[in-house]
Amino acid sequence: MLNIVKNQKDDTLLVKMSGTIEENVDFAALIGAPNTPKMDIITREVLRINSVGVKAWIKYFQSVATKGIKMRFMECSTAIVEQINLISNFTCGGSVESIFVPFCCSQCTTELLGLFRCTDLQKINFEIPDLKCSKCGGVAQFDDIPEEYFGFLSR
Amino acid sequence: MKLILHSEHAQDIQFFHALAGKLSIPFIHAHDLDQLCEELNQDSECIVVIDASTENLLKAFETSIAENIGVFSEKIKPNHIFMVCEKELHACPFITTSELFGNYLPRTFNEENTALFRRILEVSKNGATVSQLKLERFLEPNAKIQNYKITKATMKLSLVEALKENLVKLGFQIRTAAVIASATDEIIMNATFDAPIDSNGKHIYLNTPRNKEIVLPADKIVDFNIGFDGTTLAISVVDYYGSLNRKKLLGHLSQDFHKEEFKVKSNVAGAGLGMSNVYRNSGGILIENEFGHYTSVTVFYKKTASYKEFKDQFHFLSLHCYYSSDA
Repeated sequence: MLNIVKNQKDDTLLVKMSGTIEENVDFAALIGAPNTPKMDIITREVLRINSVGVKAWIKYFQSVATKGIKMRFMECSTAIVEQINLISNFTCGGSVESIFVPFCCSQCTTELLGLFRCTDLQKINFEIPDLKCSKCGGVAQFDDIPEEYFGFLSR
Repeated sequence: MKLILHSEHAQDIQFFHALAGKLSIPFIHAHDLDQLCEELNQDSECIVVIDASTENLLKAFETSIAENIGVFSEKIKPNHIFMVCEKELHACPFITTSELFGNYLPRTFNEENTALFRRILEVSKNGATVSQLKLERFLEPNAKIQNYKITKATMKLSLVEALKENLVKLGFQIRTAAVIASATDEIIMNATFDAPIDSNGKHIYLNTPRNKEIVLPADKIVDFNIGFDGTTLAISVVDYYGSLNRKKLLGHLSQDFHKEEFKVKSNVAGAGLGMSNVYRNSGGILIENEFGHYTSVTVFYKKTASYKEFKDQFHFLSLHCYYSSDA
C-alpha cells in the first residue's frame, strides 16, 4: 500500500510517498495531474517496488514529463535507487537530487542510512566516508558495490 | 553417469573435478570437442560443462554437437549442460538464445558453493516429478520448511509482507529481507497470473490487471514453500499448469535496461521485468517445468552479514524442461 502526501509551495508540487509500490497503486488517482511547472518527489519511505509498480511509475511519470513539468527526485530510498540504476528511463527525464546511501556497522551489523546530495557524491568521487554507528559507536561502512549503487551518476 | 568438462580454465578444472568426486562420478576432461562428442555418443547420461566465455566457443560446441550427434537427438539433454562464463547473463545473450541452454554459471564459484551446487547437479541428473519438488532436496537435514497454499491472487501481499518480517526475525538485514520479499512477490504473481492457461493452451490472464482477484481452481492451487537451514534460504513457488514458455523467459532474463529503455506496453498487464530482477538479486534460480503438469521456481539466498556480501553471492540459472509421454 502506498501513502501520498501532497503540498504545493509556490510553483512546485511536493509529493511525499511512503509504503510499497505494487499493483494496487494508481498514481493518477493518488497524485492526479499536476498543474504546477515543477514537481518534487520524495521517496525516502518507499520500502519496496515490484515490477508492476515500476511499470505504473514509468507510465505516470512519463505522462508528467510530456506536460513539460520539471521533476526532481529527492531523498530516494535504496529501493528507488536500485530501480534508477536498473532502468535507464526510470526517472523519465527528471533529475535525481539526493539519495539515501546504505551503511552497515562492522561491529554490531546495524543497518544505517546516510542522505547525500548527488552533486556532493560526484565531488568526492563516490568515496563514501565511514559513519559512526548510532547504536554501538562502531564504524559503519558503505554497504553496496559503488559501481552499481552510483552507476546512474556516471551515465 | 560422468561429468565431462570442456574448458581449459584452471578454476573450472579444479572446481568440477572436486565436484565430480563429491558426486562419486567419473570426471573426464575433454580437451577437444571430438572427445566430448565421443563420450556423449557412448553414454548420453553425462553432465556436460563447457566454457562459454565467448560466442565463438559456444558456437563451436553447438556445431560439433549438430554435426556429430544432432541437436535434437535424445542423447542431448540441455538439462545436463552447464555453460560457464565470466560475464553476467544479460551481457551474453548468445547463451540464453542457444537451443542447448540448460544451466548458466558465472565463473565466480568457489568451495563455499559446492554443497548447494552438488545438490543442483543431483537434481539435474535425476530429474523431478511432481511429488519430488521438495525444498529438502537442496537444504541441510536440519532445515525448517513451511508450506502455504495460495488459492487466491490477493493472498500474495500478506504472504510477502509476513515473509519479510519473518526474515528480519531470522537475522536477515532489513534491506535484504525487502529484496527477497520483492522476488517472492514476482514469482507468486507469475504463478497466479502468467501460468494459467485454458484447454487450448491460451493464457487466461495475460491482460488481467494484476490487482484483480483470481480464484484458482482446486486442482491448480499454487504451492509456496520457504525453507531455511541456517545458511541457505530457499523459496519455491509451484503452479500446476506447466505452461512455461522457455524462449520468452530466457528473453526476459537477458534483457538489459541499462542500455535499452523500458517501454510501457498497454496490451499486456505484466511488466516483463520481474524474473530478471529476481535473478539479479539471488543466489541462484532453478526452474523446473514439465509441460502440461507443473512449473516450479526455486530461488536461493545465502544469509550474509552485509548487503554487499548478499549482492556478491554466487548465482546461477538452471532451466530444466521435461516432456512427459502424455503431455
